[in-house]
Amino acid sequence: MTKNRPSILIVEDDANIRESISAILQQNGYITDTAKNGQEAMEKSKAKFFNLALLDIKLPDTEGTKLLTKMHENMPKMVKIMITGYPTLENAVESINLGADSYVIKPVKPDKLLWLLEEKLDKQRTAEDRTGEKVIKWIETRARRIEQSRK
Amino acid sequence: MLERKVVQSPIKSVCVVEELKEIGEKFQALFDLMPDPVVIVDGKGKFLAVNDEVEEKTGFNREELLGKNFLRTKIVTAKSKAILIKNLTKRMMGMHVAPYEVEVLTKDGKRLPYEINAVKMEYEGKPADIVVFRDIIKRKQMEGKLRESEEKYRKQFEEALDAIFVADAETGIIVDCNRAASELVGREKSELIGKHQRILHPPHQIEGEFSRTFKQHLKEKEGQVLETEIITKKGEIKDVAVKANVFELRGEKMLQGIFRDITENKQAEEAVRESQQKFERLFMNNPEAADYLDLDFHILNVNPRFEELFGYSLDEVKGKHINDVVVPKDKMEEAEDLDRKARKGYAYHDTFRKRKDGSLVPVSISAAPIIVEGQPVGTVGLYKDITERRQMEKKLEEYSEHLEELVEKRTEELTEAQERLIKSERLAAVGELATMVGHDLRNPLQSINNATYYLSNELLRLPVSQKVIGMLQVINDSVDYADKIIRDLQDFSSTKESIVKKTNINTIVKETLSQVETPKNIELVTELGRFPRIEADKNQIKRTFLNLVVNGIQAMENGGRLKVSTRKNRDFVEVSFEDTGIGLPKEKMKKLFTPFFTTKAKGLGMGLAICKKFVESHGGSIEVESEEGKGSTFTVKLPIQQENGSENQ
Repeated sequence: MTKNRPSILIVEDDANIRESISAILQQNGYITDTAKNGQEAMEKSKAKFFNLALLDIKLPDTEGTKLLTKMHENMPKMVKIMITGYPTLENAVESINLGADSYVIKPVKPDKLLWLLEEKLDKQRTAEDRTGEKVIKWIETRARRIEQSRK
Repeated sequence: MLERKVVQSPIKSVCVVEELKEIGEKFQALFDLMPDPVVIVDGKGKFLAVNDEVEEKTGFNREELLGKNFLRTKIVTAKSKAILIKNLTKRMMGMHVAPYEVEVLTKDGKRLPYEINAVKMEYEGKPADIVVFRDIIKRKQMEGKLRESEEKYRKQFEEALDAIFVADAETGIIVDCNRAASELVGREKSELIGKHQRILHPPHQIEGEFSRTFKQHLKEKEGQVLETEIITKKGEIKDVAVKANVFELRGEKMLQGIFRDITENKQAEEAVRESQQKFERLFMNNPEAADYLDLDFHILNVNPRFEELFGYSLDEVKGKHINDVVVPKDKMEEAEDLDRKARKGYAYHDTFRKRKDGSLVPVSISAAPIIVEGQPVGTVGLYKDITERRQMEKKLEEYSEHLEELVEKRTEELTEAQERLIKSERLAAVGELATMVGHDLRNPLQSINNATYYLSNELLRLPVSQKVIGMLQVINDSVDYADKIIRDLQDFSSTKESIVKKTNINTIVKETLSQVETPKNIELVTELGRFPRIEADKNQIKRTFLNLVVNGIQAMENGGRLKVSTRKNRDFVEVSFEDTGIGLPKEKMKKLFTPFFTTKAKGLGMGLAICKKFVESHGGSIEVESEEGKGSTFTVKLPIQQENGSENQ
């Protein structure tokens, strides 16, 4: 697999947060894109591939959890992290059940967030690699079988 | 005047002539002296002699009469003339005629009744009639009066309102009765007259042959009123009063009885007697003490309850003045006042009276005059022992005072509670607001965090001074602090559910202390006791302990000792945080746990309020003891046993 720089989608209705998080992520070598509501988020994620999405739970046009569900349907492999200012255990549990990979509470310390991103993306890479390896192994096996059957 | 005529007789004798002369004179004297009119008439009725009285009474002179036949005179009425001549003739024939009445006419026409008594005689040798006229005017008048009075009597007898019976005193046979008598017994007169008097009475009034009262009246009670009963034809018995007198009627002894029906009287008497009895009973059986006094308030009677209440017997007090008997000396004026009032109308008074043994009894007195036929004859007084009532009144007074106190106290408490409620409502409102604000602050804080981070990374690549880097740190710290404030606010206002688990308190203490940076000049001492684990929210308890430890440290700017100890105290686990810091003044201590209160220069002052909230939600308490300049001790108590009764291991 190509070792591209990971791309991250930031879904957040507060412009300042969008801008500042974007800046930090870019500073740390990530490619970023932003969406200010659920609809834009869906459009952008369908149009382009993202490794990871940061989802604010409160969006102007939809509940973060609904967006989460939609995204999970369409892009199950994308890492989804929920960001919220309203910490409740139910929300957290619900989010995880619906497919979120993690859950952070505003205001989140930037270094903590960076650390979390790295961890999740690493996991993702490993999973991909493994998948890639599986594919090669499968082709190899197939090829060998075909060769053997020819003999 | 009789003419002197010598009776001529063939026998001549001097003696006879003398005798005859004497007789003649005597006769003449008698004739003249007769107080009644006398006449001598011959066989045919011719007046031969007439005396003075005839002239007197009739007004006729002898000259007018002598020689005339009376039939031809007007000296008698025609009717009388008829009788006269008839009887005269009879007498002439030698027959005896009884005296009879005639009417004489005076010269002036007046009719005078006379009774004639006549006898045959010889007068001057010839048969004659001497007639004496007896004056019966008076007799006639008397007879008239008698008849009148008889009639009057008869009328009275008949018409008397009372029944009158007349019976023979010997035989008892009724000889007469009036209309009222007939009505009384319901029998006709004919059914009564001739019957024995005992038919008038019921059998039980009869003794032997006669009725009891008949006998009594005859024997000794004549003229007195006796009471008995009569019985009517129909058998109805009536009460009567009888007054009987003895009198003579045609030589026979009679008893006349006047009967008066007193049935109604008797009934009235009975009613009076009954009502008297009732009054007696009312007085004697009255459950309250009663006295009956005369007009001068001397005791006429007291009832048994009076005797009981005051300890006197009636004999001991009869006749004495009521005030002398039962009124204590200091109540004398009052008593006299009451007396005066009682004379005129109803009087009431609550006061004290004295018993025989000298003890006082509180009584409620009611008095009134007794009026008979419009005149006051005395007063009656009732005494009600109100000892109990007095006690009750006292109790009530005491209770009412106590009640007032209680009410005051309650009102205070209520006011305080209300104030607290208002305060807490205000707090709740503020808290809500604060929470909302807090929420909204999250985003800007996030942005600041992010921007600062970015800037610091950028700046690190550039040759900038430490100060520049330092400033960024300042921003960071400030954001942290702002965040803490928001979190504190949220904690305080939130209804976050606590996560309760079996917790080892000592472990939490140790964890808390390890988290805190203890300055070098502060000595940390721990004394941990033994007790079971308790059900608690670890996070909340930890934050509480953290807050208290930090407070303790902050109070000892110049160093000191912080002792954290845990122990079991009956049903509670006690955790104490004891410092040797500056301590707290008394005024501050009251408000210590109220939100937004702080002794520090900075900070919202939510810390202890949050601690209190956490601790109390476990059913525990947090207290503080402090002395200015010496130090403070905060004690957290957490119950070992939960409400549902399960004891923790």
